[in-house]
Amino acid sequence: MTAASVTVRMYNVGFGDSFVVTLTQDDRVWRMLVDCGVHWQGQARPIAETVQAIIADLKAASPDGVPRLDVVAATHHHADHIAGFARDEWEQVEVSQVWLPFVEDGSDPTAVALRTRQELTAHRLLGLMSNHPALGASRGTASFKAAQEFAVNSSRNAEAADRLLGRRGRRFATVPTIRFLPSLTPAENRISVGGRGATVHVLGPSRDPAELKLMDPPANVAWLRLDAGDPEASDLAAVEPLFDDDYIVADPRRLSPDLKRARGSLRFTLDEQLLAASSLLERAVNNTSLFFVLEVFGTRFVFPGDAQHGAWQHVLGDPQGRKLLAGAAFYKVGHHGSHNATPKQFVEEIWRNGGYAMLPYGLVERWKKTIPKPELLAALSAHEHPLVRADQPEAVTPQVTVHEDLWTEISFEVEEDRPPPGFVSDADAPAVPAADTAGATGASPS
Amino acid sequence: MAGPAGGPFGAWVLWGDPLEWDLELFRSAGSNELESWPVGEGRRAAAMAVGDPVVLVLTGEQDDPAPGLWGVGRVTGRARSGRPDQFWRERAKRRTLVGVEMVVERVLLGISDLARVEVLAASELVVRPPGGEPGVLTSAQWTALRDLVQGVAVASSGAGRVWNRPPLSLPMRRLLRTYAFDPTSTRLSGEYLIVDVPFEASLRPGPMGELVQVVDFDATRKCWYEPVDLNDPTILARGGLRPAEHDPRTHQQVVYAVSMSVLERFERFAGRRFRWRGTERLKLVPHAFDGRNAFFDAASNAVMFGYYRATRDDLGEHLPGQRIFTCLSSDIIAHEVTHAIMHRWRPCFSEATNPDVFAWHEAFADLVALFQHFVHFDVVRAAVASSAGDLRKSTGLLDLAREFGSSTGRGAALRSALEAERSPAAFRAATEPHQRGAFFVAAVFEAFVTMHQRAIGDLIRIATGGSGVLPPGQLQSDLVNRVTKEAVMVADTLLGVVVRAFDYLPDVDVTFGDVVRAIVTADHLLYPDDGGRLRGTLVEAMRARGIYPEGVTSLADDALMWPAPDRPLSLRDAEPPIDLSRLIVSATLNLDASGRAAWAMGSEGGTPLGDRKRDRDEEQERYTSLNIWARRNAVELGLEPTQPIAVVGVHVAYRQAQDRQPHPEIVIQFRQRRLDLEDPNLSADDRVQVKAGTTLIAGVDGQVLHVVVKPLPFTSQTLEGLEHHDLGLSHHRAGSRRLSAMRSWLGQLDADDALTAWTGEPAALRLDFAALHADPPAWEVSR
Repeated sequence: MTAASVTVRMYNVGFGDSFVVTLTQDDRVWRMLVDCGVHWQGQARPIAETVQAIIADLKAASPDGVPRLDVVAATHHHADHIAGFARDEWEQVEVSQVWLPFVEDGSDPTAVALRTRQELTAHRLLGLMSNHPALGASRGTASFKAAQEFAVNSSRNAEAADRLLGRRGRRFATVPTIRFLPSLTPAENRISVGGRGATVHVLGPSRDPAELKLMDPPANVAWLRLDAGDPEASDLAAVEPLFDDDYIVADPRRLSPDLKRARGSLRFTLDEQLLAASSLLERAVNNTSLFFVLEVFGTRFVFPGDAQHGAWQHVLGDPQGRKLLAGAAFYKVGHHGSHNATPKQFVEEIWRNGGYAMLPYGLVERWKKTIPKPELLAALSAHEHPLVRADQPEAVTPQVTVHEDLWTEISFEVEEDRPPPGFVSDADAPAVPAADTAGATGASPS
Repeated sequence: MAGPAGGPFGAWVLWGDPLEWDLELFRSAGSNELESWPVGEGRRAAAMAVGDPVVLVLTGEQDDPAPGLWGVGRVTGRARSGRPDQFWRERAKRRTLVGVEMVVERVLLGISDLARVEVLAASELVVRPPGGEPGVLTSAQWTALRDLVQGVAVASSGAGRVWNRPPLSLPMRRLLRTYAFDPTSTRLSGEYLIVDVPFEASLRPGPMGELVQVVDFDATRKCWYEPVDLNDPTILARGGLRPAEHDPRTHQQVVYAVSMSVLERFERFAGRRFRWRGTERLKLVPHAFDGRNAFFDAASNAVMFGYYRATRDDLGEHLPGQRIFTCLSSDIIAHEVTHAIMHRWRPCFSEATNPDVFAWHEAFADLVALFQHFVHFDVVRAAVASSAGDLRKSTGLLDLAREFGSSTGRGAALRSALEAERSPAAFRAATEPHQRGAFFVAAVFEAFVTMHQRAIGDLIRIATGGSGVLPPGQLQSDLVNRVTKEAVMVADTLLGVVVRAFDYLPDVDVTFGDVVRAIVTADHLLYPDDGGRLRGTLVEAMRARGIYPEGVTSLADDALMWPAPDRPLSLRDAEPPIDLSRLIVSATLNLDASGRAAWAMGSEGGTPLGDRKRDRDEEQERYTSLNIWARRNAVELGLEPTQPIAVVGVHVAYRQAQDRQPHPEIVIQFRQRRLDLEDPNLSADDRVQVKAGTTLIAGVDGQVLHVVVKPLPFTSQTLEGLEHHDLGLSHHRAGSRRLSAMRSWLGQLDADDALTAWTGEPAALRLDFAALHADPPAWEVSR
């Protein structure tokens, strides 16, 4: 018999993530929003429209017309995942809990140091790109622009972060409990949600000190340092002459044509290196992604955020983690379908055929050849995973509902007595009910 | 061609009117070299050939400039349309120009002096031919003129030469000064070192010589720094400028001196002339940018040196805020120039096809830079003296290695490798190129110390009356001198062994195992007995660190040497035949120190060697023959017979052998790109190229001695024909192993690279020396 139904609704923001997961058991409803943001390129519509649509849908679903969410999960600090939270419309929404990766925890010195490094690096990169004299020749190239986009994506999300953390007057309608995950206490990484039989397993990001370096930003762009050690990095405008005026050629026309020719053949551009450094930063932030699996009577929904190769290895290296992934009914395709965000091993060896894949994606011209990665799409198809794309909404099975180009939804009916595939026995370590957490406020709605 | 007065051709005469060409502007621009000159469009202009002697006559009514002969030089480019230099009043107009190489500084001979010489009075030197055509001197006229101006054009300055008759020959060496080994180090021999390099008579301001060109442009501050003219008598007289941090000209001198010194050592060890591709020079940019890095940029064949301010967390002994110039560190210069030389010899070693390729680049560059310290007797002597009674342990020499690059933060990997336990595990675990390479350098250094101890054993016994136990306190100074001499000799020998091995390396995808095999093969050919146990010592030092070829059954010479061909293989069998003798003769002439032998042979022996066009044609024929030969023997060479094979290098090297005789050898490299084995999802330009390469060592009789293969699997079509071809099948198996190892390594690079998420470009294509030399290395960060 049907014990519960789960719907996953993907809002079509463009190049960004925004998902609402609704778990209905008997007449109890539990609802979670996973991310709400879009990259500044590849937008399907302004993010405000998506925010308004989500809230309108929440209102419509609410018996008393007040929009409510049990959980808001923000997987990581990138614009394409959290930009939407900067909108003040969220003040109408009652939120019980906010889940964030542990790196956002302001009371954890390791996390603070890490986040500070990431923020400082983004800031320095943008600073370099806007005013470093050596970069004149690099400006305007495609690589330079891409580098700038990466740095922007990692910074200027302060307003959104403020709302999630309840800082500087930004808030939701209620004051939610904030959980920084995963917790150092293993039991707290299995969270009971909704009614019986539903658990969220938090699998990442890793808190293993050895793996924290996956989240470390780059220390330099080619010869320019980005870390705090370089006094000149912060004082780029003050360029004093290197030698006395007498040694500086006043009129370069005097120089022999040979010298001028030679100078012409030199390459002083830094755009490639800027791009490399910016992409390291991008990856470092992606690797802070909250990686979790929602399990409802053994049916599993995988939300990896934008975890990249290294961060995935942490999950795949754990036998429990592998088991949880193996029989997933649903997988949110990591990082808009890029190369390093869905391990080949996961698709080829671990994930059993047939589960749904949802791809949050909007066309960004610059990356159109590589994102989504054609090999990934081919592999998903070869393993019979129905693929639902935000940019090409299509009801590929009767379970899929397409609502214009605003959202696409997959509905799952979950049976209680169905033997969960690759079952991870909950008896080993009972899940902690969400409401039991110290300081939890507000009852779950409905 | 014949001149108007009859007789064979002697030289061309270019004419100029100071009203049209502004000599004053030319002089005030600080230049004294002419690069082109307009000529008419007639037959004469068209006949001007590269290398022809040419002179310049300026006309005019006034005494300033004085009319007369102003320059003697040679033609460097045939007549073609172009814009004249900026000193022409009508510079916008296109004209027919010839390329010339000529110094124009002052009048050499006045027109009235010329007119007074009987042979020249009616020549086209005095009487301008009509129609703007260049004049022609007969051979007799040219000889007479040459006698008059002898020596004038060679050395560019100094009024004294008028009196130095007969003319003095140019010096062989130029003395210059550098820091020992950078401004802030507390080195053993005082602040400065004297470096002597070959005397380039034609050295121009920059300095710009035949091999290197210093380009002092600062991209951060967008300005040029005044170029130094090392031929200035005031500099010549004092043996080079004394290095000073505030004077950029001394920085230019330092980079020039150290680079030339390194290049010269390479020539000596390799036994052949070193040249960049074509007329290319290595560009050295001493103040390229504000930043803590220096690197070799292969695309522009340039070494870029940065400068930066020291911070509190810097290693070394500077003051916070002090400006550090990487171009003043001899270690950094030698290291980067070595990268450039390696790239010239083996361009494919800049492609990261396995974890050893870049590590070998770093190892070799560090090794050369480190052993460059041992060129300086005084430095080594001070190190030896400082080790006092503890000589047997050579701690002084070890200190020299430990100090390597210390004040600039370089060399940290080497220091840790010298301290690290000698164990294969550490080498296996090291993947970062500098770190991995440091194990190789540490092994060579250990061999050096061992060899040195062995070499001075008898000296110590003599000095101690046979006991071998040195008394405490200072060493006796004669003993210090002798021990130092041994150290310098051993260092030279050892570095020579490694540099010579370069010719024996495969063309692509090198590993440290290959390096060991190349060293053993090269050394065995010259010193079959290994009398000084040098080879054995070196191999043992490598073995202790796990550096040896995969799959060898023993570390004896026979097992380590590159295999000889299965069946006799000879270049003499080529069809059409390869003219090996001319190749050998031209290599021999190139070794002449004056560099003029080829030219002399050309004019006297009737064999126009040194004629560029003829050389090129011959080279082309040789390449064609070799290509056909290689295709016929492709399977033996580990190359796919059904696909194109490129001949990428043919040269002859002379090496000093055990018997003290020069030992000539032919080295040939073949390369083959295998499009069929590459990633078909990317366009041919965007892929990591999959290449097979073969190096061939042959005697001057054409007999192939060794074949060094880096094969790839054969196509199935070829494989069908190889059923009983043992060597072919073994190449095929080795090729399959290599291909799969390469693919998995490239996959790992992709997985480790953050940009892989965004672009289809393989990560390996983004690895270069600039990325590698960021400090801390970007490569390391990206891991």
